[in-house]
Amino acid sequence: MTTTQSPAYTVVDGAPTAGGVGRPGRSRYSSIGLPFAGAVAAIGLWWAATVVFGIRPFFLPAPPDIVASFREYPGYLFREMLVTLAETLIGFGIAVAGGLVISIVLAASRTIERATLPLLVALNSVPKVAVAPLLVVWLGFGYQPKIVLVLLICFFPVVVATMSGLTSTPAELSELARSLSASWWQSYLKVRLRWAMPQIFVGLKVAISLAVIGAVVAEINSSQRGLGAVIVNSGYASDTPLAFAAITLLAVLSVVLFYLLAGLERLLLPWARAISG
Amino acid sequence: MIELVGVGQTFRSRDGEIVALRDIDLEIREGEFVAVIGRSGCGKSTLLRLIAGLLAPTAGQVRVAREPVTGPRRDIAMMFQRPALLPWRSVLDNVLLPAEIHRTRSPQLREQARALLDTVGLAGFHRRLPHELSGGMQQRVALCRALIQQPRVLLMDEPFSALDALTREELAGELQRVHMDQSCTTVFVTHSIQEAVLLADRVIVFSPRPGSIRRLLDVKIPRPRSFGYGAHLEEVAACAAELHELLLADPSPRRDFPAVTTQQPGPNGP
Repeated sequence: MTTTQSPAYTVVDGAPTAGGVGRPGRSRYSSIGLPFAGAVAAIGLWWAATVVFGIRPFFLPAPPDIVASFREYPGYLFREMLVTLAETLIGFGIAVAGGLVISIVLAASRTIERATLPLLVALNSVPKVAVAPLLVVWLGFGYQPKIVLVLLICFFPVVVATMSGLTSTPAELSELARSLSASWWQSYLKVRLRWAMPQIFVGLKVAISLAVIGAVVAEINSSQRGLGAVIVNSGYASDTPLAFAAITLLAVLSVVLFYLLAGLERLLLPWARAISG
Repeated sequence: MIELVGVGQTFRSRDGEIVALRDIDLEIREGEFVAVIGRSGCGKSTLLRLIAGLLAPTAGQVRVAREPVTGPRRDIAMMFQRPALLPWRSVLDNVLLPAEIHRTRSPQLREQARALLDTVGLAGFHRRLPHELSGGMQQRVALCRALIQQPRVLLMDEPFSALDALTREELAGELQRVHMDQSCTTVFVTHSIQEAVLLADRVIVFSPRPGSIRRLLDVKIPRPRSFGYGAHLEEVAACAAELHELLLADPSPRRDFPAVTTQQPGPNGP
């Protein structure tokens, strides 16, 4: 209440008006401007280090070397990125669809949920990338092992998050549904599932970040295609700047996919931030 | 309208059985406003849940409109301590939730919901989400949601207890007006002597452990009542004082919940 407009109160409160007016501008600056400034400073430091210590591009390329790589192979990098993106999205899509269906079925009954949730949490913590070489043995060198690894890596976060969301309905809302004599389906669809949405999005955001990792790990194991393969091949050719260019693209891909989901969440669930904050 | 015959409720817990209610005999007439008052943990909420059909009594029988209660009924609306609004639904859609569940949604009902919201001072807030509203406004939405079903019985479980004192009084006044308009049978559980005196035709004073009716008190103050000037201040004060005596004369319930089975029941009657 320090920002009240009434002049009588501003006097009492010790003239907080200036701070009140300045605040909205500062928050926009701190949410976009500060991270941007941080990133620029980090790149600057990195660049300065390569120059000051005379590090050769073979060990650590400076930002201009990476830009040069982008300009040398734009089509190649873009095509390989699309391959990685496709594997990521297909694997993620299947994992989300399957994960949602399975967790909705499992969470339907308290007994089944209690029997399966601990197992799923345990499986979630198994490092799935360890099976990447086995997937090559089972599925060969094509797209399948990549998609399957992405799927494996995305599946458990989605299931665990969805199930915990579905089982966290507040007692008063369940009671309300009961007092309205809502059917099981009605309370499931109108209350439980909707209530779980923010949690489901937590799972999706974890999964999408992991999905890119899964795709790249699979590609590094066995591939002629994708950004993972670009990194492996650039190693053979001693072209470190190219590897860095591929890594940069991977980072951009991850970040963009993550923020697309975060944006979708804000659009679909404007209430979620308000009640959790 | 509501009859309870020899109703008792015993809960099983790890530490043995807890007698929440014992030998409740009560008849509530159609259109009557009954306040149930008592200390925490004296089984007031349990009583409400029994009438609502959310809980089956372990002894005796509950009847609403001469039919034994076997489960939640559509002509009973319930209001809780917390507003229990669905955070993703607009105010209007929250009010229409019961109609949606009972599949009675219609354009007329939508209009009715709008009108209801307007009468409780929420005109212009129909499209807002619950989190954009204050606690008092949220509870008003919950009241509209309860009334949209045009219930014959309205059950309220300390609906204003989470609000600040001024908002409580305001909402109590509003509820009084609504009740004078619609006159559905209302059972109102509260901790507040003020609210009980302001609202009720009859006050049921509960004694704790095991919950039982200690006293029935008729409140014969003409309506509309208020705590403002020009109201029936003396009667209100006298009635409040009597309730105060009754409630505070009760021995304070033991803190180490639950230990009822080993305890002697409190004295019945004054």
